[in-house]
Amino acid sequence: MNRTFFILAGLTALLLAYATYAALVLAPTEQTMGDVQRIFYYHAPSAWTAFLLFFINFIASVQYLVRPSETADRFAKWAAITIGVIACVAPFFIPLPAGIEPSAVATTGLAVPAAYLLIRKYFSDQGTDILALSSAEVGVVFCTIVLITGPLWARPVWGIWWTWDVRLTSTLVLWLIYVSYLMLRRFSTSGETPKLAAALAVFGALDMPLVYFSIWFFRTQHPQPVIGGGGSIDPRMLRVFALNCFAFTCYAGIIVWFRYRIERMRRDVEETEALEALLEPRGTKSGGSR
Amino acid sequence: MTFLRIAYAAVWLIHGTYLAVLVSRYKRARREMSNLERK
Repeated sequence: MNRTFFILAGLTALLLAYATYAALVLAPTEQTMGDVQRIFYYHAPSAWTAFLLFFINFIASVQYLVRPSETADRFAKWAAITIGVIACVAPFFIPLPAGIEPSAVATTGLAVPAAYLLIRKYFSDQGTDILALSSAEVGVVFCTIVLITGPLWARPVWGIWWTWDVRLTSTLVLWLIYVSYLMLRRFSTSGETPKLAAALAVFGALDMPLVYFSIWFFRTQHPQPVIGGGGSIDPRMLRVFALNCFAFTCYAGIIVWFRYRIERMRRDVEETEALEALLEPRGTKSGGSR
Repeated sequence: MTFLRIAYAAVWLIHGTYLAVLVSRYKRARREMSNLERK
């Protein structure tokens, strides 16, 4: 690992420490729930980070699938740009369900072409596959945290650990989809595993809008969002929440980077070993490729 | 307060465990690479 990685990792650790201090000490105590509401500063940013990582996994998986065909690649690129343009314009003309801010839809829509074009530019074919795997794995870690901190917050506030409403159930399904994705990648011995996994990831991503929008379209126990969704939040709480979102995003970025590097090294080792195994029977001396 | 403590402890336990797994994978990959380089 290079020096930049360690510098950024150190800065992220400091940021996380300060964000935790802000969540536990600086943020005001919520009047109804009391101190237990401070779980929010870990629960919601973890959910945001998990969503972001699954979104990256989706974009990388699409790229991995379309890149072998030049036509499909070009079509996907223009489809991503079109989605971005429509998402930026349409919310301001089409009536949206109550509570959904047009600017929130536009920002989310812009993320599609932005992420697509960035990954297309900076990642090779093999790179998109490794990025998809790394982001899914780290995303599952964050989603696990959401599923653990949620019930720990619900028990003292709702009086129950869990309820099978749409938001909670769809989040559990999302977690299960990505766990099955990781199991497929870990245990399948087929040479087509990356393609199968990419296809699974594309279908799995369909659950993300259901999780996100479920609180608007269904009656759920889960509260409405306090940001960008018609709710309100104390500005001091909002600052601490934003800080934690930023800190967790940086942390996720560092961990994905680390996981990406490990996978790259592992594949290099596997390729070299396979090459050696091919060359050995002929009596050719292998090695020294690195 | 108990639930809050448990939640924060659980979060860092999960992150710590995952980091430990990653570090061990990284060490193994490094070891395998240096073994190959020595061949």
